[in-house]
Amino acid sequence: MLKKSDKKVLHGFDFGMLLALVLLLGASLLILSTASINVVPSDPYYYVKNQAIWIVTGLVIAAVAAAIDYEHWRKFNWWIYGFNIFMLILVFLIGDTAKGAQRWIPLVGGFSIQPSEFAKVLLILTFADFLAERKGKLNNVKDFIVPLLFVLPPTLLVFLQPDLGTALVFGAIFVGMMFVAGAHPLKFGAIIIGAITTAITAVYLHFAENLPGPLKYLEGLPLPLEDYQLNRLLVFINPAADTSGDGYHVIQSVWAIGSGGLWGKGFRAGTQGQLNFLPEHHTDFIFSVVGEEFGFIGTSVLLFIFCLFLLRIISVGMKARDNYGLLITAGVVSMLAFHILVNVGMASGIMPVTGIPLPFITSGGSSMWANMLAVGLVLSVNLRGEKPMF
Amino acid sequence: MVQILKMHKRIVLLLSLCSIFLLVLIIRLGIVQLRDGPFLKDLAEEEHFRGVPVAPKRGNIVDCNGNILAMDISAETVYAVPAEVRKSGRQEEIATILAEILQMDKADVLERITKRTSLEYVKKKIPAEAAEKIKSLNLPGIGIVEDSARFYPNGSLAAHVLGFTGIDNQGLEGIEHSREKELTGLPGSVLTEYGADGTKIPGGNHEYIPPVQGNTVKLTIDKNIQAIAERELAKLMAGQGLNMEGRTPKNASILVMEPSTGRMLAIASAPTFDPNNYQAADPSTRRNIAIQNGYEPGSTFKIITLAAALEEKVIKTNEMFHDPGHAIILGKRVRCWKAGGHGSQTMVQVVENSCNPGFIEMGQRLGMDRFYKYLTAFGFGKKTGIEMSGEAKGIIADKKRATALDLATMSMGQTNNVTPIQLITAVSAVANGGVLLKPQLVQEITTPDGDVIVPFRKEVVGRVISEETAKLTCEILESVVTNGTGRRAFLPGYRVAGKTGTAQKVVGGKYIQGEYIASFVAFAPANDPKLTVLVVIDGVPFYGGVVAGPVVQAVMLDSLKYLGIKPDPNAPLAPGKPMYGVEYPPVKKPAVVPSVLGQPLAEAQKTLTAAGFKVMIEGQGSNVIDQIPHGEATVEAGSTVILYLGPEAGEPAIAPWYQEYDPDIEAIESLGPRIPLGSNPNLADLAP
Repeated sequence: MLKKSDKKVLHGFDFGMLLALVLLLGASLLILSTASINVVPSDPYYYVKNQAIWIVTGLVIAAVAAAIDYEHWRKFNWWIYGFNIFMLILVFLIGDTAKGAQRWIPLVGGFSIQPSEFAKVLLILTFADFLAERKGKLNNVKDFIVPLLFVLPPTLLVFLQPDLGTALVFGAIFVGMMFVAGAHPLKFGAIIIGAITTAITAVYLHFAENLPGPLKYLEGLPLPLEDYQLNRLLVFINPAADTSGDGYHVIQSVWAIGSGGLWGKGFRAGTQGQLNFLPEHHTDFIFSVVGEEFGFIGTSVLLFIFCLFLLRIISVGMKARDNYGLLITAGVVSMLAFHILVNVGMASGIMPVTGIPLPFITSGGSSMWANMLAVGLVLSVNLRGEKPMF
Repeated sequence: MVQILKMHKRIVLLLSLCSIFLLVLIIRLGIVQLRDGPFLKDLAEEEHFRGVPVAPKRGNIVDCNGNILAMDISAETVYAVPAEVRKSGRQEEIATILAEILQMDKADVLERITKRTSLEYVKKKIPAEAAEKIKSLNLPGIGIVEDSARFYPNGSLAAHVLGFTGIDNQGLEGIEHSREKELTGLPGSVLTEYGADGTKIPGGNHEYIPPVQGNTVKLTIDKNIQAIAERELAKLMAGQGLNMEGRTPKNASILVMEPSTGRMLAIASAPTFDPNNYQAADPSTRRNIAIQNGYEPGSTFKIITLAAALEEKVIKTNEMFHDPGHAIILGKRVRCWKAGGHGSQTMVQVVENSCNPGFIEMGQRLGMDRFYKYLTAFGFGKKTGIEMSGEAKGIIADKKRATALDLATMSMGQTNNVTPIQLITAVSAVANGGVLLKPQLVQEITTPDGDVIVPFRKEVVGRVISEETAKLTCEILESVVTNGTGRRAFLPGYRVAGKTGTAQKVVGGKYIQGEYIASFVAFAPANDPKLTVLVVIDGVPFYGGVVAGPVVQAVMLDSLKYLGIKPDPNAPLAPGKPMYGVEYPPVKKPAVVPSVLGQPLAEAQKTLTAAGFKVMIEGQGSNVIDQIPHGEATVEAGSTVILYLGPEAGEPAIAPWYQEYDPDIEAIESLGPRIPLGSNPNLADLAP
């Protein structure tokens, strides 16, 4: 525990990261107060109030996590891993189904939590210990298999919910942390590129028709994904082909962002979001509202704050007192960066529609708490790391 | 420590990777927001601004003096925004209310107001009270937008030329159709902001884009001359035509052209219709027979034969021609109308007498090739290009198969089939000095502010005869009216040139007996023609000169007076030779005839007697429906004025007339049975 007398602790506190976080949280409330204004007609500030509650409670979680020396978690590593798996299995047993996927565990008072959000952070925590223990033994392909087996169970459980987007986040965390942990860059890179190529080829074959020669036996290759999921993934390539479903989302989102121009239409003056042409504009597509109402200036500023935030986390990682701390920060950065890339990419039409939230901005309690837990862990690494060099 | 340094390096690489990702996103956002922004903004605007179109006012159609012939008046249209109606949940109730006010079927209304469209018209052009009532009810999702309806203030005047418009104010026939593009204008709209579910945004933005009125089409038609022509047609169709013995023709048309420019001053056809209520009219009345019907022109065509013969110098005016009373062509004896023939006569007299053997001689001297050359040069057998849909080409006999007998009959105006517009255009070419012009209907097109955007341009088709030939032909034609068979179109004080014509009708592919197409074409003043008038009366048992002559006379006189063309002091005040029935002694002491048209007989007699005229009465009835000479005509003092009596309306005035010889009929009858040309539907249309 952090002792009050330990003044050097606060001395090392990364205020830059805190500033970026505060800006993001403020932006979240500001954006939600325009994006969600027409979602609940009886209470225009319903989502803003909820988000404020998640932020306050989330900050408590972050503070507690920061106060606890992260090294303590190592002792319970396999317990945490087991708890993680248990929660994900529990979703299948008592989970609520929303939008075709079992993701929620109901709690008292009408609230429910989404274990897959926390699973990301718990995976980072446990995988950081796992990799730190292995100490650089990641030089050949065989060495890659055991870490993969470590990550695979929670990933598969999330994938089967089905929540492809979050499963892909697990993949991103795996890749990012393996890379930082010292995986042989060429071999690991080859495997990653091979895996991506295989996936693309498999999807292509799944939809392929009239292939020449013996290739025709591979037509309609069975995939563990429903066609609607694949369509969602691929629709961004040609959104005009599906103007009523997911293609409509992508088109509306791009129109909304584009119509903001340089300066945007102004706070609550966006038409696509305010008039409900833009679906999910308080959740997955919230970034489009930023684009429409605050323009290129707004989107650039928001991305700049994210960039600053990631930069500070990496700075914390570089001053971590051990590999375990450093790998935690690497995992958090991988997770957040992937979220930002995919969410903003989806909203602007260059990434598949996977429905993963924009960290800290999208309304949602589980996501906020999980991200705050991650921040708390990073802060714990920060407070126990080296003194700042500047 | 080595390990942690390696990891430091790696995490910096991770940072670089993240930076690249962010850079990609920024570039993408730059493309979408900065480069494509304006375009995407338009797309987005279009999506949520739903326009209720505001129909533009259609341009006016005016006559050559700017008198309005067709205009738009305000009308209102009811529309529904089905999403709003459905949202209100009061579909049934709204449908019931609207069905009652609009007198529509409820099921139909319900279907319209709940249709899965963003905007649906319920009913167009509704009465003002109904619109007021619907507005006051303030029904959800139901709105009223101002629309316009076409109005023809003069009713049926120039109906065939103007045409009419349909329910969406789109031109369907006539100038309304041919000038649709110019008349339409640009629609405006009331833009209202709508949400994704199709309901109006409370307090949303409204934008009004005013419509742009269509351009004004100014016709060459002169409303007054058109009215004069239509008045004469109405008289004919009411059985009050002079010498018609109370009979009504099947149909009739009067065309008036300005020969020097090709401008059509009037195109009138009867029967006619009211374009304000065209749906109620029998479709046959909407046929523009002056343009769409072909007929055998008879002797009026002899003008073309004469002009060609003079141009080719195959005849001389002072040349003597002996008419033995017939001509023998291919063993057939084609008689002249005058028993025993006209004997020895000059070529001018041949024309004055409309002597058939004389014209057959002209045709023979021209020969097949030259005759056809002039036939086509004068525009027969092809469309004149007048701006009216459905113009007929007419039919001319196939040159390869034409015999000498065909040439003989064609020289007399038989056999070939022409349209009234073709004939007046060809005769106008003679009148204007030999240049065939395209007949035109549009004077100019102006913006609503009056700026001319399309000016009038005379369109020359080509020179057909020399100026000297034209002048000579005019002089001869003048003497036809002064001295010859055209005396019924004689106007005291004006130099009129013209020619009568009577043709057999073709019904069901056969010539029929006892029913003719009587026509008369004339132009005046003969030395400087301002007007060409063609009257074609179809389906009468009378000859051209007798029934069409007086109509030409009336239209010509009234039009010349209206145009302010003064009588020529050198013009004869009476025909050179007396006519059957109407005789003009040489004028020694001129006096002006007062007009007594429309007066009761006793009053008319009193007026004329007081002016020193003798009165002769024709027909029965209490009112004067016509008089000869016409009012204001200068004639010999103390001469006789014939008054034609008739009832005020309804019953035809019976003007008894005696049988008169007509050279055309004589010729036709002498030919025996013939086979009409072609099977052109326009010919079949001549049948009732």
